[in-house]
Amino acid sequence: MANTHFFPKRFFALAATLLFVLALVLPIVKPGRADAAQLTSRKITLSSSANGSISTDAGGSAVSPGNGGNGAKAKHTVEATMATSTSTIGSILIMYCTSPIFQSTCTTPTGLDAANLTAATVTGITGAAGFSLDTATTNAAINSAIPANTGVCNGASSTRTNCVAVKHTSGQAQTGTPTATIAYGGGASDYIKNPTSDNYSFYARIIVFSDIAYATQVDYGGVATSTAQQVDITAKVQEKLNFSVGTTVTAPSTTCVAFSDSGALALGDGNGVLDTTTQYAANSYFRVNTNTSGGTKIYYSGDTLKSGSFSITALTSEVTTAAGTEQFGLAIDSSDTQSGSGYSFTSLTAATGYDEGNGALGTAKFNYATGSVSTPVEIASSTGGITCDTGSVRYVANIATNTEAGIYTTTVTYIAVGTY
Amino acid sequence: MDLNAALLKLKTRPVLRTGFVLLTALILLSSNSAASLQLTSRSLRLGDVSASSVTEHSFGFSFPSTNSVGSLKFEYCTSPLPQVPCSTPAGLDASSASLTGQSGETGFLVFSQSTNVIILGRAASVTSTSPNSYTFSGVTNPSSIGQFFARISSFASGDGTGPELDEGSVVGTIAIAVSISTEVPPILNFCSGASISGSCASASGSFLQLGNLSASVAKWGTSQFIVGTNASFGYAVTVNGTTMTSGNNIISAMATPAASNAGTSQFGINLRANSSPAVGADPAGGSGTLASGYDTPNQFKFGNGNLVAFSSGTTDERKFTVSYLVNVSNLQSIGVYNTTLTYICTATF
Repeated sequence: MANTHFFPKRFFALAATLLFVLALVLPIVKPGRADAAQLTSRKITLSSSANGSISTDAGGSAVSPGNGGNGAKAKHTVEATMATSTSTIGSILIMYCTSPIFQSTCTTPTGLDAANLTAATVTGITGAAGFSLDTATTNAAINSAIPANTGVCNGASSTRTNCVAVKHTSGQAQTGTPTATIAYGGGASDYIKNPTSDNYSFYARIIVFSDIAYATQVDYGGVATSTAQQVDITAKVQEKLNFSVGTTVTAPSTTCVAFSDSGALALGDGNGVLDTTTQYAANSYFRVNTNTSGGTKIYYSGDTLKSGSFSITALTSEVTTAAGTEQFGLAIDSSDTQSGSGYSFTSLTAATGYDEGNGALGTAKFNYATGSVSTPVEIASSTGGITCDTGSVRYVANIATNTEAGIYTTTVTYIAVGTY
Repeated sequence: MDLNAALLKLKTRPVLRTGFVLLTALILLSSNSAASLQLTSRSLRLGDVSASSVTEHSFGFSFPSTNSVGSLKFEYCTSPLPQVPCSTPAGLDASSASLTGQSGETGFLVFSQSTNVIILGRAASVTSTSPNSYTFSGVTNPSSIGQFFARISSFASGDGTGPELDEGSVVGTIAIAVSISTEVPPILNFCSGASISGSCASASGSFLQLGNLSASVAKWGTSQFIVGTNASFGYAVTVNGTTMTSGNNIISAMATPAASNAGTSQFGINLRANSSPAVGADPAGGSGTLASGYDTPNQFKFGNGNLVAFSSGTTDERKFTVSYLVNVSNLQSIGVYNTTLTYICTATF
């Protein structure tokens, strides 16, 4: 008896629960109209999943409307395959909501705004070319025409915040179950703005009507989409200025190998001795590799050759030289290519006044500024980065009869300044 | 490897876990600094690129936008990346640097400084986007050849604290200098001859024929010599020889300067342009002085070993013309008179 009594009690409780659940579920799965069917295949493609406040990239550069990084002026493309065969299609309404459930209230996704759409393109169905964005029918008219459980289009008059409506001038008879594609936005002044939060799911309710007044529903369906947090990838290429100076030529190889010798340079005959009847020259080298964007300047700084209080008179302008006269100067020697290891200017340009150091002594021109000791003088420059340029600097020294005897020396410093 | 496996690996391997935490921190640090803009047209110019030299460092840059800036921070590091902890380049020392120049945004004073950081401060004012430069003297360069970096940042505060407004890095390079050496040897260009039209290479002749001597007419002739030297203490030229002789007979040398006097036995020289007789020329080119007794026109003298010309320093080539004067009396013994004179130049280096 106890079991007999218990069974009905549990049975009824279970039945009541099932009924309650059914009561909850049925409204959800029930279409707006008993004879409408759910679109069999449907999707919405966003041109950008960036939220609607984003129109620039991580570097602050503007992203073109309709491109992946612009959620403020996005393009949405809806595709829907008809469930009802050989239906007539006169209008299509796409309603953006925070829920796809037709029976639930349609709350506009935060920040989403379709008010700036000026056109829509429909393809894939019979009469597609005749469909256009409906900017005439008021939201009030639409809201009163569509099934009550569909939701509402917000916005003043025919300006639609959360709806996109397209219609033909008349219902278009379809063949089979075509797939309609409705695309809109993505322009500078014709766009839809995504919701303004990252990783925010929102939905579009798609309703296909047989008439052009949004009254007779044919098929329907909801689609989900979402904004997404953008991944801002930042990498920095650090400032680079590889600059070396030497007096012994080495090949730059593929890595722009730096010079690494002592920088000592003997000027004169085999013993480093000058003579009043012979001109002597020698070369040093600088090599530079830099990623400057604003260019690079190479300066020299140094005094003329000196021996105690005596000095060899430096040139003061770009001139040819001659034996028997005190002269000290330098210039870029473009002929000193050293089989590819010497002079090699691709990005650099020799400065005027120092660009004719090539050729035989007597025809080559040299120059010098002793003032470079305190104010370095530009000898070459580039306007941008330098992959690997080698400069050959040629020095000349001549003496007169009355040039005091002695060991003459000077130190010439080269300075590379990159602007980034 | 799936995510769970990766996480499990992180949990079980401390090294990986530490690396993950550091990477995360780096990313967070990076994102924090993203708000500041990058200074533009940045440059660093060194007065001397030699290692360890004490020199000027001149920074140049422009602000990317207008801001109220009260301080600038210059921080020398081995990396330009603000996300990377700053390590001072070995040997670099800015602790004694002084601000010796500023242009563009001015009014800054050194607020504080350390080995690798200099902070300039001023009363905050709105910047422009024009170029600015700041020059520090007394900065000791890094001690090694190669690159080093400086991070520049701006702040609204006057002491380099608070949020960074703008930032940017520059690179400097330490390189060797070219040491040029050469030798100028001692030089003495000296030559003599009957005539020298140009340089010493054109010297020619060594014989002067004065003709037949007469008591009524003076006889004369010239020779030349050139001196050029780089002797710091100059040169000295002496005339060496005897007066004109013919066996035991002589023509009297003019022991003291005197004018030509026909009918009197005279042998003398000078190195000037004379009018009586019209012979000789003044020295030309270079530098040098005629010795007393041989330096007056129309006055002649001769003494063996006498100094005739000298300089106190170096000289380019200087040409001297020696005039020889001979007079004889009626009593002069018959004969062929001659002499050989040698000019000796001594340079003191």
